[in-house]
Formats: sequence, structure tokens, C-alpha cells
Amino acid sequence: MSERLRDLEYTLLLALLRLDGETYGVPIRDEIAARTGRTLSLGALYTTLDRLEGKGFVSSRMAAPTAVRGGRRKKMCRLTLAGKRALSATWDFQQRMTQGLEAQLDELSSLAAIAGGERG
Amino acid sequence: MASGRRPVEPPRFSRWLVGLLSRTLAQPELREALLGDLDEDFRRRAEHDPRRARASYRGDAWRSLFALLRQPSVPRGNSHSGDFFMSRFFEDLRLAARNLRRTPGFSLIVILTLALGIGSVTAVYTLVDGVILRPLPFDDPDSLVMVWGTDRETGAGSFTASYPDFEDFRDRSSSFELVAAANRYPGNVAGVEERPTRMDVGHISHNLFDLLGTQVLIGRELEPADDRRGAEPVVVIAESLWRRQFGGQSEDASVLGRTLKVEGVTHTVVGVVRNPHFPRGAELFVPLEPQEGTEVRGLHNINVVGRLADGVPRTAAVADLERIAVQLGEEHGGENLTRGVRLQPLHEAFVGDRRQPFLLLLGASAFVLLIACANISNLLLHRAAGRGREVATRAALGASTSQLLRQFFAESLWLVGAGSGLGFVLAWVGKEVQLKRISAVLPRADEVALDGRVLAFGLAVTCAVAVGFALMPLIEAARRDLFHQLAAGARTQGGSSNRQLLRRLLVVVEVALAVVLVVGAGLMIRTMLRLSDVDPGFEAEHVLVVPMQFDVPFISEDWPQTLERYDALRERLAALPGVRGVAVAYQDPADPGWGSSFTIEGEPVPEEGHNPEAGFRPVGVDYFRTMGIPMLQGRAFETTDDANNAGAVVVNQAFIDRHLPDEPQPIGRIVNKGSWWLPELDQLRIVGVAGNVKYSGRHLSARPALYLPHRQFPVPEMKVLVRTAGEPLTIADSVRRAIWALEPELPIGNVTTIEEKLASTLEYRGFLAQLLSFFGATALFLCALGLYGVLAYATAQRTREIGLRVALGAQGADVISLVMSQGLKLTAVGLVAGMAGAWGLTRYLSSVLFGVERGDPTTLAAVVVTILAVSLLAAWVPTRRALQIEPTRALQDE
Repeated sequence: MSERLRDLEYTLLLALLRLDGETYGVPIRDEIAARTGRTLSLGALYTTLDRLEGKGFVSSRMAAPTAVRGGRRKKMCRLTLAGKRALSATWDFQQRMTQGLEAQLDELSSLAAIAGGERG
Repeated sequence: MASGRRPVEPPRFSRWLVGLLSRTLAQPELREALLGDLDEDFRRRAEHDPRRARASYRGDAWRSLFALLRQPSVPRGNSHSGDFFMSRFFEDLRLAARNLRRTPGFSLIVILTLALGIGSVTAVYTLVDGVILRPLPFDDPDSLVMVWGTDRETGAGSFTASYPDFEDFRDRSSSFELVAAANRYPGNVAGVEERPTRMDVGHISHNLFDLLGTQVLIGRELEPADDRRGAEPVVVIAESLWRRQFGGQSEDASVLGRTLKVEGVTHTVVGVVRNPHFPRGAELFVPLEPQEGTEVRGLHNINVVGRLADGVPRTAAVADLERIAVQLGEEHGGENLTRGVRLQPLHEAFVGDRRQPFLLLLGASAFVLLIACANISNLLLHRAAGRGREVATRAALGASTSQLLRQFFAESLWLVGAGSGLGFVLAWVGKEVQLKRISAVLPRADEVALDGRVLAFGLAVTCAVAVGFALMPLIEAARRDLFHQLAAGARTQGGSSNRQLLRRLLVVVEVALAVVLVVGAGLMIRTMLRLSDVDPGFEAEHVLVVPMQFDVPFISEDWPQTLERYDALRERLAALPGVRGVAVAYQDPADPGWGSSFTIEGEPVPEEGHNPEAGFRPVGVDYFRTMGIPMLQGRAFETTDDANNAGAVVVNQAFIDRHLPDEPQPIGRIVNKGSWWLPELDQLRIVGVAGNVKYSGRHLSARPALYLPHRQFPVPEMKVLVRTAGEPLTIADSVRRAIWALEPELPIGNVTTIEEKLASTLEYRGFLAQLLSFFGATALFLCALGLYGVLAYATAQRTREIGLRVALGAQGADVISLVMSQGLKLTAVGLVAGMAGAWGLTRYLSSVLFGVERGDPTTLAAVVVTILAVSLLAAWVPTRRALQIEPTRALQDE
């Protein structure tokens, strides 16, 4: 895979992987927020998903409308095979770059935590 | 929280906006999913905390919009993965710039129009902010008031108080935290500059600085002990004077203990204060000398200023002082019987009647901006319509709606940015030019600055305009799917007739606004014409005014010597080349001076406290001849009108008209002394009647005047008036040198000409007239442009129809009336609306109008003619174009 994923794309694909199967905007956002403390805007989430769909990493279909959504349909997304490949490629790339650095990186993040925590 | 009462709904505006804009920025499915998710998320949160849910919805909606704007969802298969927001943004800007350069005429007109609008508003706001809006530089300025005496019967007047009255107000009232006195006179001061100079000196009660909240830098302020009679003379100087003349540095106390001579009396410097700004212009402050005794109750020369006690409303304070005024009338009789009290907010005293005209100017400039915006909206609509083919081509080549929108947005950004940048430059230039002209007559001119406050205002205006223009195509597109329409390459029916209506409405509004402005400008121009027609009653050209004062007491043994010094000065100056006459006078003719009461022997004695007043004007021999004031009866003063002879007085025609209208022979009638005359001269015989002189001031009317011979009224503070053959200021230096040759120590005040002084009273109105005319002309021009645009567009659209009519036998006249009537209809509607608006708004001009009513038929008629002429002119080009339509070509066109 010549093209690596961008940060937000990577995050979203990981969330889809975690949620396993079909899912949509609200749970994806909750998942990311619960893990990282970072709340994406739904707009940013959907434009990224849209781009991922354009690249073929995600597939989607419109589900039935529900009342709580003002009669609007959900856009259900799932990871495609190409998406899974892209994920593993990026993961692989990251692993190669971090190999042997684990101890040092751990130390850095504990230092960062002392120095004022992670940046949101 | 209101959760129990009504079902919780998402914030309406955010929901509406995101719903509207996502229509153009996102594909239908994505939009549906997004809006659904927003709702779902909101309902989930609202169960716990409705308020936070709303806040969160709002934040989410706006951030989502931003995300959509940054990365619009693209049609499938059209990959944009590589581009980032910024680089794409710059690309948009670059493209937009190229597009604008392709239509330089359009771009230039939009930029100039905007610059005029924003520049006008910002320049005027600069003045308004400095003069009116900015709080006065005092502690809690809103509780400061001037205490004025009034005529209790009419409630009118702004009289100064007598010293004992001031003391009584101070000691007996309970509604004030402090009451202080603050006078200002020009005085001779030695020890400040190399030569003795004449400077404005503040004569103040010790508590004035406390009252204003003036900060002491070095030494001390005035103390109660300084106010007593016989106290050691002390002086406090302002920081500005300290730094300028005493090399003042922080903490440098060396100035303390230095001595200055104020009016010949040695004063010791005891303190330096931050500039108090009150009394205005004074930089030296000495204690006001207490005046005692019953006779000084009739001498009203104290400016009283008070700070209202906490929580006391002004009305309560007025009632309190009114009660004291009644007591004083009972106790002392005399003029106290008829004196009422009026409180004037200090801000009003500073700004005077400038408030309404200035706010009017701000309104006028806002009108110009509105007209500019209406015009630009029209131009943008016009351009959008004209770009159907371009949009269609680009859409066909795969440009998405959002790409087109972003590009229009980038174009707006360029236009608004360039327009406002140029506007700020114009505002700065305008402010500098105007300020130079009017600073003399503008209160608080020193506080006018194009600073952060003003820039913030200008930027706010700019942003409002920019957002308006940027959102317009977006909303327009979302509402009517304009771009698809355009992309269809159509001059279609429905949408465009709607747009035509909008454009016509904009033109009507422009005409109405322009009418209001032109009426205001017309009234001011008429005022200026009337003012310049006023005959001042003397020869105002070529007179030099030299203010000076001998350091001798008002009444002294040395009087004959002082007179000799004046005579010597006159002789010396009269011998200078270029001098045609010299006279001395307490006030020059352009100075309204002050008044004194009097009675006329043989006339009914007025009720106590109702003595008439007349201008009190000591003048030297030759005054009337030198000033060119005609003697209507009797004689002018002679050298024999001196202490050895009976008191003489010359009155003016207005005096006769008012007080002796039926007297066939006023010469020889006796005038008795009034409130404040010399003790030894009780009676004055009228020896002559002089022509009226119209003093400067608001109404330029002649006021009854008593001219008194200088030789009998030993005023040591006389101005020297020099009539010159040529331009007066060219010999100012030789006049000064000639005076100093005789009187080396004599301070000479600011030498001016009477023409300058008269001009300065016209200056303020001239300034208003000029600005309003400028705004009016700009409005007319923009208005014509707008009308032209609409008609040209309409004519172009109706080419086919007109061609058909001509083919069916319509004559040139029919075509002319077809196009013209359309333009005239719009103009007529705007005219009527504008006249109504003008009638309502010119009310705020009435304080500066002179010799013209605000419903002046001549002005209104001129405005109607002007507006009609301009609109005919604007309609002419489209009409001619319509006349040139050839039926065959027009019909082939479609």
C-alpha cells in the first residue's frame, strides 16, 4: 500500500475495527472519546468517513429512519477488506519505526504525564 | 432547568443553519446521517442535562459546519485526498484574484464603493467616539454636574453664580459629595517661559481636584488653608506644563518651591497634578480668592461644579438646590429673588449641542455604507447572473457546488479586504484633514484618535459586511439552487424575476437613503449661504487683534499713567508702515463679551430682580472709526470723555429699539449704573448711537450694548485692534516688536485676526455642511450607479420584447417611455420614502440651522429636481441602448 493513512483516518478505522461490524456516527464518536478523551465533531467524522469510503476502505448503507433522529436514517458503515489491509499496513509501518524503542517511548510518555499530561 | 415544562428542543438557529448550509456542502445521504446523529446525540444528552445538551449541540453544529467547509464531501470517484485546507484556501484565493483581474472595472467599482462606505463610517466614528462616546477623563464622570443659575420664571439661562451663593450651595445642600468652583481667565504669567506670557489660569476652590479625581504627582494639591483670604499665594501646575517648561521627570521634585508671577503676584509652586482637563485649557491653578460682603451677591462670575452623592438622582439634587435658592431670595432679596437652578451633566457641558449633529453625521455615514452595500449586492447579483456560462462550463468540467461556492467566497474576501483596507486609509486621511480644520471649535479635539477602539469598530463593520457578502451566495444557492439554475445556462423565468424584485427593492432603498442625505446637505448649504450673507455691522477684514494686559490693579492710583502707556502704544503702532488705524477695546467686535444690568432715568423702574441687561463694552477713542461702525446719531468718544468730565455712554441701535423705542431724541438721556460698575460713576449720559454689530454666537443677532469710554472705565486688560492696509498677520511680528520696544516685560497673547475669529464660528457648521454634502454627493453617485445597473439589466433582458414591439411599429418615444418609466417609478417610490425619512431625521439638525426651516420648500424642491435629474441621467444609457435594438437581430438572438 503506497498510501499511508492520515491520523484521523487511522483513528476512525481503528474505532470501526473495535466496534466490529456495522456501526454509525454516534457510537464511533463515543468510542473515540471514551478511549482518548478527544471529541470529534460529527461533521469532521463524517467527512473523514466519506473520504475513507471514497478510497474503498469503508462501505456503507442507509438504515431505516427512527423517531429519535427526527425521522432520519442512519448511515451504517463497516470496514472493508481494503480497509483492513490499509490498517495493517499502517500498523506494520508504525511497528517497524517503533521497534526497540518501546522502553524509551514508555519513559517519554511518563515524562510527558509528569510535565503536565497529554495534550488534548 | 425547564426540562419538566416543555419538551427540550435543539437550539433552533444552529439547527436551521446547519440544515441550510449542509444542503450545499454535503451530499444528501451524508447530510441526513449528520443531522440525524446530531439529533440523536442531543436527545441522549438532554435526558441528563438539557442545558449542556443545547450547548453541546451548538458547538457540534458549528464545528461540523467548519469541517464541511474545509473538506466538503466529494462525489464518488473524485479523489481529493492530497489537499489540505490551507493550501486549497490559497489556491482559491489565487483563482479568485485572477478572476477579479479579468473584470477590473467591476472589481474597482466594488472596492471603491466599499472603501467610501467603510471610510466614511470609520472617520465619522473616530470623531464621534472621541468627542461624545468616550467617557470624560474624570472619576465616575456620570455623577459630575455643572450648577447653573436660571431665570426662575422661564427656567431658561445658564448663569454663573456669585461667590456667596456658591458657598451657600456648598454648605447647605445635602445631595452632593462635593461642590467646587472652577473659573478660568487669561492671565499674565512670568517665570514659565523666557518672556512673561499670557496663559489660561484656573482659579479654583481647593476641593476641585478631589471632586474630579485628579491625581497628584508631586507635592500636594490645594488645601482648605489656601482658600482663605490672606493665605500665602500658591500655585499647582499640570503635568503637561511641568514636562514642557520645567523639564519634569518622574520623581523629580525640584520644581516644588519655585516661584511664578501670576498677574504680578509671586506664587510658590506646591504641587504637580495629572492634567485635570478642567477648567479646559488651564495648566496653572491658583486658589480662587474668596469674595465677601453683600455687594458681591450681585456679581455672578463663579462656575460651580458638583459631584452628586451616591444614589442621589439629579432631580432630587435640583429640588434640594432650588429650596436653597428660595431661601437665598428670602434672605438677600435682589437678584436672588428670581434665580432658579439648573443642573447640567458635565458631559453635556463639554460636548454641548454637538451630540445630535454628530450622531446625525454617524447616521449619515452609515447610510452611505448601507447604500454602498446595497449597490454591491446588486453588482454581485448582476455578475452572478452574467456568469451563467462560466459556471455551467466549470460545472460541466466537474467542479462541485462547494468548489464554486468557495471561490465566490474567496472573491468576496478579496473585495472586502481591499475595500476596507482602502477605507481605513481614507478614514485616517479624512480624520487628519478634518481635525486640522475644526480642532479649534471642536470640544475634546485632543481626545480624538484613530486607536484600537476605533479600529475595533471598523473591523466589526467590515466583518459584518464580509460575512453578509460571503453568506449571500451560499444562502441564495441553498434556497433556490441558484447554481444549478446558472449551470443550466439559463436566463430562466421564476428565479430571475424574483431576483429582479430584490434588485428593485435595493434601488428604492438607495434612493430613499440618498434623499435623506441630500436634504440634510441642502439644508446645511442653505444655512452656510445665509450665514455668509449676514452683514456683521462693521468692517471685519484686515483687523489684527492683540490681547494684552498691564499688570496693574483694576482700580488704582496709577490710572492716568496707565492711560498714558496705552496712548503711547497707540501712537507707536499707528506710525508703523501698513497700519491704517489703531484702537483699544475690552472686547473685539466679534466677541459677545458679557453683560451688566442698568436702568434708564425717567423710564418705569422694573421690579426688583428684573433689571434689563446689555452688553458691557469699554472701548478707547477711535474705536468706532477704526472698526468701521457707523455713528447713527450724536458723536463717538473723544479724549475729553475722561475722569474730569461727566460719564458718557454710546448705545447701539438695538438698545434704542429695545429700551427707548419711542424716544425721538435719545441723546442726553441718562443711564444709571447697574450690577457692577465703578463706584464713582453712577450716571452716564448717552452721547451717541452706533450701528448694530452682530456678535458671533449661535444666532448672530444684535444684542443691546453699552459702549463706555476707556478713559472713564479703567480696565487694564484691553485688546489692541490694528486695522491694516494688507493681510494683517504679515505685520503681526512688527506689531509685537513695536509693543515690546515700549513695554519690554508686557506679555502678549495669541495674535489673531477678526476674520479668523468669525470664521471659527462658521467653521463648525461649515464642517457639518461639508461632510453632509460629501455624503450626499456620494450617495447620489452610488444611487445613480445602482439605478443604472438595474435598468441596464432589465433592458438587456427585454431586448427580445423591445425588438418585437419595434417590429410591430412601436416608435422611439414608446421605447423611451418604456425604459424611463420603469426607472422613474423606482425613483418616485424612493423619493416619497426618503422625504418622509428626511422629515423625521432633520429634526436633529435644527440646532445648527440658521435662517432656514427644516421643511424649507426651496431646498426640498431642489432635492426633488436633483434626484430626478440624476435618475434620468442614470436611465439614459440603457434607454439609448434600447433605442438601438434592431428588431431582426433581437429576434434572432434566442
